[in-house]
Amino acid sequence: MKSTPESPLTMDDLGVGQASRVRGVSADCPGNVSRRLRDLGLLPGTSVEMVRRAPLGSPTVFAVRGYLLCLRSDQSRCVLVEGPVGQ
Amino acid sequence: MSSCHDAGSGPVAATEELPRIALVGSPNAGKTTIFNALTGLRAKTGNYPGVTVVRREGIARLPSGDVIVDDFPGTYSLDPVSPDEQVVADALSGELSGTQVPTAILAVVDATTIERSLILVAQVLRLGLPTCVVVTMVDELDARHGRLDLSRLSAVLGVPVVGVVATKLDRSDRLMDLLAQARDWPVASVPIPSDPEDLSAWLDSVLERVDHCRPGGHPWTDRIDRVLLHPAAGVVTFFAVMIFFFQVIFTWAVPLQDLVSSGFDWLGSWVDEYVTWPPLAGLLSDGVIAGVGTVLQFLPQIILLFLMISFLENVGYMARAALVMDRVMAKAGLEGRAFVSLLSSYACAVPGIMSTRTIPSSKDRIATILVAPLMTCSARLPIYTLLIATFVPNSTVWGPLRLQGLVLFGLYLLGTTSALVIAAIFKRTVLKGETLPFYMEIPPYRVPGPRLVLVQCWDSARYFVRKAGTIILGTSIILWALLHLPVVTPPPELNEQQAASYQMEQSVAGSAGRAIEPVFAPLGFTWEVNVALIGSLSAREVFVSTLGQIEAAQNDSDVSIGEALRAQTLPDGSPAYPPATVAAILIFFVFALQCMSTVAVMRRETNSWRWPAIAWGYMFVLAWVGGAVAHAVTQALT
Repeated sequence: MKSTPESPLTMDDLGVGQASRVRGVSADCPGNVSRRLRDLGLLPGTSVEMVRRAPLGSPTVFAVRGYLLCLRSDQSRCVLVEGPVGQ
Repeated sequence: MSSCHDAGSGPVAATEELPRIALVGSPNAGKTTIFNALTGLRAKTGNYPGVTVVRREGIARLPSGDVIVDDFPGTYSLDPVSPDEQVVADALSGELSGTQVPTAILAVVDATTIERSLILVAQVLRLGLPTCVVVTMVDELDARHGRLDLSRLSAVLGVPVVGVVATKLDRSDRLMDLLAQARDWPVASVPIPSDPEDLSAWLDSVLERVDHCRPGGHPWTDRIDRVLLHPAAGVVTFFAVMIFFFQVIFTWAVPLQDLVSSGFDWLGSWVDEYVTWPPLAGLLSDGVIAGVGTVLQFLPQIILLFLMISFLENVGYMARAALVMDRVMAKAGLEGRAFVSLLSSYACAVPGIMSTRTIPSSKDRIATILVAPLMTCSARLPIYTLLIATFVPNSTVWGPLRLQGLVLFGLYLLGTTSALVIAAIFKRTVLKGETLPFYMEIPPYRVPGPRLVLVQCWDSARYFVRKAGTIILGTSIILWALLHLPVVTPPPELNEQQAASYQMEQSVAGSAGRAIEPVFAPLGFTWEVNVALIGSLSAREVFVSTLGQIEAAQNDSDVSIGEALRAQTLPDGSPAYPPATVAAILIFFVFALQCMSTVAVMRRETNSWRWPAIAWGYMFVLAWVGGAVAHAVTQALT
């Protein structure tokens, strides 16, 4: 998967076991959501790994800064990431 | 002394001498464990003015003197994204009228998640108040081969940093000494950036300077989650846990229940033998013992359920349950954590409603509180089991499935489905509004400290016991009196049973029951049911004991209440309880809010009378309409 200016890669695009680094929070994201995502540790340069999806498909569990954070698609789509590293 | 029925929301009246320490930290950091260790059962629960956020405060008795501990709601950030959080942030900075700025702040952080928690610590330090940082789970950090130099952290931040194992906190901990000197805690002067890129760099540099090494994965957590959260095995295990939950309600607690029940039967026969004055004997055995006994026999079951819920919550399982159910709850406009609250309400709506404190969105919180009583709580079981056993034939439907069990299951299903549907309706209409982002931390599985589990269990059980000791006792006595007064002389041609029946019909309660007959006529309710219904508005269990009282007086003593109900006829000779009436009673109980304890908790948790009133109102309408429909449909089918 490659991140392009037209379709930037987000946390939501990560597959199970894929890791990447946060580039930042999307500008389309509402202010309160982006502030909360940053305070949850999703800062530029932070590495994130997609651990698993919930049994019914949503939300998704990510490993961030040493803890497990689950987000729905609406929120994980707000976080821009670099091209993924490894599987 | 602790009190759970505080009408006001004001803080403990602080004198100049008592320092006020604010406990701030994220959920799952062990903050509540520390709060309980410091304040024991001396905590008071109230509200912040104008919002549904609950505030807890208590007194810590330290050797050096008392200290007020203010337990702030668990939060990941002091930068508010909702009106509720704004109020809490204002309270911390002293900008909230009616509250004082804290003397000092104790920031509670989990050693294993320090990479994130430092963000909150930075925000706390920016408040410019005397601060101390307590780092919990230091034993777990060590066991998972992580590393964190607390003294270097203290040097970098400029405030005292102490490590604890929250579940093993005692008087000798250095934390206690530090708490005694709260006024002398330094105010940090380290400038901490707020721009995300700079903050990220600051965090990296701090973590390096304190020799931080991220702990390895929690050994069991990953293994267990691979099963519990597996797409197929996860859902299966989930239902297995639910079934286990219900097994406890229905089967395992029964021996204890029977024990308590026979204890009360013995008490009743003791009264019959030794209390010679008939009115007093009647009051004691029919009013007090029957009324209170009906409730207390469920106490073992209730305590068992509360213990289980508290344990599952603190071990970390409930977060997984919320994770599994989030997608379903989202369709109802709610979220996974609301499911956990509704699940707890199967035992009793009171702890279920209290557990909504973990839901960040106040609209979600209120919606969940409004529908929690629809979840079939254990107080409905005496009514359901009596009516089903008496009136529903135990015929085989298919294989091992029998009609009685199916009807009971159907009632549970009706309660649960209507809760979700009505929550969805509320969230689309009255409670519509900007939705908060959904996020949830999944903590590692941890063995909970026994004190925490017991304190939370007692927090809920105390409502139940208080309900039995006051509301139900009071209602039973009053009802008994109203059923036997005024004393009238029955016409001489009536036999003993008919005379007793006549006395009850002419009593205050009986007259009231007959007076409201028009209201419940479409549901087919007799005056006896009406009287029992009025009594049960205080607590559902009163229905069975009241109906029992009335039937017992009108029949021979060896006739059981079930037989009495089946045999009873109306003046025109037709049965008093045809299937249509029974169906109406059952459906009425599915929906109606008949519990003063629940109303009281709703009022406290939403900080107003508006929501309990709305809840009571809509549920009464639903109950009446549902009962009328059930009556009409059943009558047409039979």
